[in-house]
Amino acid sequence: MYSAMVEKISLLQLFILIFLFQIGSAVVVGIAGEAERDAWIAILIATVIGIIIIRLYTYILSYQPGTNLFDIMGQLFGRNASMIISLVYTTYFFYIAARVLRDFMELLITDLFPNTPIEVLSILFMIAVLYVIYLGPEVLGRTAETFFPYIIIFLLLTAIFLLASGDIKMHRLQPILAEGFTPIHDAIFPGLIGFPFGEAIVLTMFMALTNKFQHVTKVSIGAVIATGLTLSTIKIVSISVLGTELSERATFPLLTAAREIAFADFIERIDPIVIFVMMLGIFIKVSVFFFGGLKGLEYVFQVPYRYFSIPIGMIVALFTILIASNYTEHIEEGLQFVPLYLHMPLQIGIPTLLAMIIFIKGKQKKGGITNAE
Amino acid sequence: MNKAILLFLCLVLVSTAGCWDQAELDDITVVSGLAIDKGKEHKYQLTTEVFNVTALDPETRGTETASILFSLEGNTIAELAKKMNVIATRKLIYSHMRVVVMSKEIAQEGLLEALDFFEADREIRNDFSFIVVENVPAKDVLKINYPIQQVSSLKIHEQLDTMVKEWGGDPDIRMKDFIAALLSPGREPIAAEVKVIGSPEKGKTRSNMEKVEMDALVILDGLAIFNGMKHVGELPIKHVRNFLLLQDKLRRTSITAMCSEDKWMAARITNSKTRVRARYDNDVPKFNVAIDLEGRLETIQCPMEIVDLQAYLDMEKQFSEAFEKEIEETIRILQEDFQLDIFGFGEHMERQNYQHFKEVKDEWNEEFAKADIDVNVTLKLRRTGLINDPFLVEMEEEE
Amino acid sequence: MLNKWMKKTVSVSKKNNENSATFNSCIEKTKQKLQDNFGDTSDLFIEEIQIGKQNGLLCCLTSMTDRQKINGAILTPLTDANLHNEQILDESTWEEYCKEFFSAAKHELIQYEHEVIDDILNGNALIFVDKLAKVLSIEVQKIEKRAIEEPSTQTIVRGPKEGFVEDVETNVSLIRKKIKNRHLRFESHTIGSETATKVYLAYVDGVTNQEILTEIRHRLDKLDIHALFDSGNLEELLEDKTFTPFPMLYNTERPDIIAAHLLAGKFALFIDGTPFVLSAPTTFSDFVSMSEDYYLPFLMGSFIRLIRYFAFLIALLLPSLYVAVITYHHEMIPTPLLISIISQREGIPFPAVIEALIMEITFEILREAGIRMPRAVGGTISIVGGLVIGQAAVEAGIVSNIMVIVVALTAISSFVAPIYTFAIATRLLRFAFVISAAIFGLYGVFLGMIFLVAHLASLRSFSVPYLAPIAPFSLQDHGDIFIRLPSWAMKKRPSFLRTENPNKQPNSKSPSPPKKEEGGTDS
Repeated sequence: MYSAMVEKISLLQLFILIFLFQIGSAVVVGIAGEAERDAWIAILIATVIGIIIIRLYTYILSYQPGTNLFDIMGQLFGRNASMIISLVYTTYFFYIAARVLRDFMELLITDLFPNTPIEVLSILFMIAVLYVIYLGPEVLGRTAETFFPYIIIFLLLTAIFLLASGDIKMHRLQPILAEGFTPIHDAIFPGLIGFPFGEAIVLTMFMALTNKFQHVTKVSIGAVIATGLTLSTIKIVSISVLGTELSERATFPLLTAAREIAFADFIERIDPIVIFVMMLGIFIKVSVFFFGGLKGLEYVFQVPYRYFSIPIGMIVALFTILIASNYTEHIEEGLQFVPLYLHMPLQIGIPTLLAMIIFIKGKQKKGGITNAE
Repeated sequence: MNKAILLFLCLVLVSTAGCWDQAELDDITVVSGLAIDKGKEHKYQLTTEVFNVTALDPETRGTETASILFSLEGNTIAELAKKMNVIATRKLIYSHMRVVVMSKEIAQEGLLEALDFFEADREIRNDFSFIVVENVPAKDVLKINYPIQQVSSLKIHEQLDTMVKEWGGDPDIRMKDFIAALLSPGREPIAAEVKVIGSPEKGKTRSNMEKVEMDALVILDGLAIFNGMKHVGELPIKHVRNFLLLQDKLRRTSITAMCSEDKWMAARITNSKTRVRARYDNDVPKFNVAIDLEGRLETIQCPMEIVDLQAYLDMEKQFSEAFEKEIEETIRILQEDFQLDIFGFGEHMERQNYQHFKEVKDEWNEEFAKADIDVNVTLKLRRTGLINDPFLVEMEEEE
Repeated sequence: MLNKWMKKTVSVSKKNNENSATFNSCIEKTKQKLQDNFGDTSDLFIEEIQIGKQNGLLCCLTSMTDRQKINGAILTPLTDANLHNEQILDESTWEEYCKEFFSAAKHELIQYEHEVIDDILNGNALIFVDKLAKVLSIEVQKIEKRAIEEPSTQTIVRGPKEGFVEDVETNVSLIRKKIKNRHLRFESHTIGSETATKVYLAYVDGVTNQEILTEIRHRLDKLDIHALFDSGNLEELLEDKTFTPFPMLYNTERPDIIAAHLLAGKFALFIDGTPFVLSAPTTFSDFVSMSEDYYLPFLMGSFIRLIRYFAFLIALLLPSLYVAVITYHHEMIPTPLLISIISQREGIPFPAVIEALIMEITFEILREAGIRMPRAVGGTISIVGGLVIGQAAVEAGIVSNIMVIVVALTAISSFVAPIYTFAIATRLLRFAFVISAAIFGLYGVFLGMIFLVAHLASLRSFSVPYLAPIAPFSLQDHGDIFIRLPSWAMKKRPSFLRTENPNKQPNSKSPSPPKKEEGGTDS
């Protein structure tokens, strides 16, 4: 009818989406394991690179505010070439959606539902994702907005309870930088850049939907900083609770840390709740990737994305299981194959190329300040 | 609308097959504790103690026992844990387990691989007490009745908990701490140790609970010291407090010091803070341990006017020295008799002098043995009880 | 009520009969025409009278008219007039005649057939004059209405106790009395092809958003419904989205709430024949707040409101959380509690979910019976209900004690929501949650929560997001959502209503005692 069809998301919603998106699976599986005790420093440094990356993306979008990545590629490369690249991106987005879901499914199966078939859990999860995506990005933004305070409160409470039950031992973080910067470098390149910071490429779909594009850069950078600080804090908490060794050995560090909570003989054994708070982050992340992929299909086939949502949703649910036959394989792919062959070219390579083309075009226009900022 | 129907069908499909992990409460039995012994035919013998809920409910309580034991033999704890239904009727759940008892035999042979299961299993949490039993098979510890807390595992758990809160007689070691110590180059693991006094055979009957002086009791015995995974010795309970203090984990305790010939005084410590400073001095590791204590005077057998400030300071000094001596004694035993760093001095060194520690970390225990450890206790007595001058002073004056 | 049924049996469809025939024939023909229209319904009253020197016809429905009013407003003036014995031959004399003699009562001259029929159905008395097209219509309705009483729903401790009644004019006057503002408008609409129910659209001009008003007018005009008995009928037709358990229009019996809503920038719909007045656009938070929040000290008001949110969550989730935790996540229960629950459930023949469903359904039946059953046997229900749901069931070993506690707590919490239509939404959703908890434990419950929030986020009431101002977030409006700030701090109208005049009381200040001279701060 009226306004309901204009799918716009507010800047605050964009901020929350970026934040929850990047926190999403990063709190489930540990990140920056290579840097061991100094992982939190690695995350902070990676945040700076994350800011540069997201600035790159907003620069590309500023070529024509209001259009998404696919449309811009279409304008710069021509429709045929851009269709191929779009299909690559689409596949990539769906694949990462499946990976993220797999991360969470593994957590769920390991900790809560050891006997339940993973297919059932993932299909159910995708039905929820489908429902939200079917209702549109605006609803996704609002859903994220509604849950956001509770996620923050739960993260804070987890930290407070750990602190109160005396599990946090700050000295476990010492010595700082014992092995110098080499482990940190190893953690950042290419691991941390691709995941979680580079994955923001899919968020360009949402940036294009905001009502005030001129502020998007600021908001996005703010969100990345907030993410970096939060992830770093979470890392500090999990190392100071578990110690370096256990934090590295644990399949799901934050979960293992949360299992230590025992406060006032009453608040204890709350890890199922922690899992479901993580679930909200995963939910946002999967939805965002899923939406990104659908938008790609929409661009390629010129059909409204809602038509694809149900079949593709089920395919993603299925591929969640098919992408790896066991957890080790899943993690191996995530650490070896994905960062190098998927994250790097698609998150950094093609966007850099795009940005350069836009820059040159801007120069050619002579004083081309019209489009690029 | 068609899509709604489709979604609905999916849901129905999913849900009709559901409930894989469901376990109704009347299909489960809650395990309260485990005991691991060496098996006769296999590697392990696992004994589980389970709650008998009807005996615990005040309304249905009868003459039956509050807990039941099952034992099985096998090569992995993981398998045995699920195989218990050879004996038991219901599904056992391990999430509320309070105690894991290991026999000394197991510990001495280094058969602690079983710990891996406890760490990885989703049900088992890190909130149970991990103990070694000295003189009897582990299984017997769980047999011994106690009228106030009828489930043996709960009794032991509570006993350890209260002990660490009130006096500091339990090292407060959880499984995760044990494993962390195993992995850390600068620390050797320890565990709490208990023993059974009296006859375990008599202790397992209900009649044990009907006596004023019971036939068998589980008592705390001190520390079990490990070298890697091998149990190498014990430390009596008086050292446990010193161990806790060096870990900066002591909460409250009472100490006794001599004030004159065979006259003693006691103080209640309510607050403690330990700082360890580590450095290398000519290839000799040096540690400065500064311990700040705060407490109040509880009793004094010497006729002394304690309203006097100087007397206060003297007492503080006497206490501090007594404490220092005790701690140094504990450290000396470890350095000379065991040559094992159970205190984690190596970890302090790692934090404060990483480069040097890295060179010696593989033979840290030798380094520890030759380390120069200087303990410095500062005790502050803040107040006395409700009486300013003990009656002993008045008596002295009358005489 | 009876009147309406009468109208229905007469079954004259206003729209179908919209011919422009007039009654300028002789009396006999007029009489025939009327009888054709109404058939031989027994309450049709037609009598030939003398008007001046002419023959006339008095026609009305006896069931709708007040005999005393007919006497006072028609027969007395008529006798007076007949003393003058005037000749009424043309329309202008007739008009003057009417002015002279019938001005005491509200009257008008009409001429078309459909007007005549409508007026008769509305309870007017009509006077026809031989050979004249203009018909005199005099209002002599029998007005039977309930006295203003305290509302039976949404009772409060402190605050105005009057409630709306079935008569729409009374309701309008109740609002007028509260808001003495010339910008308050009441637009009249007639809805229902057979009931021809009067509906007033009320709003404050210059406050309520114009687009929203255009939209509601548009929706009202579009309506094609044959009968309208309660605001509930209308609610379903005006919603943005019907497939939702949540009410998309606010309904209340309390004039103070409607007055507050009007001043906040919402519109209200008064429907003749029901004490429930609608207001919209409405949001989730409206259903959790209550006018009493504003009458109590703000700290107390905020506390009560938080309690209501909490009760909403309990009513929605408690049984499902209980089922999920005791069938899937035993590890979450502290040991002593677990032992006690197990020993209570010992010997219960049903799985926990069946136990929960049995108790919930029993309770729903009890509640329904409690509402429907004749007042005289009302006492029995509490005794029998108490037995069924309580001690007897536990002692028979069918349900456990703790389940009774859970169900009772849920039931009590579900009564906390002030608006009935909102409270019943939780009843429905609760069952869905219990079932999903039984199948997937907490995973099911949390997925259900995601579904629920996404659904709520997708709802709009007259273009205002249902979850506003939580999502989309607006800090300014949060002073009156989870907590209530003191009234001097609430200077603006809710921004999500997009009012024409966002300022409510821009100059209000904290009521502190004057220190020195008041500084002149302008908004």
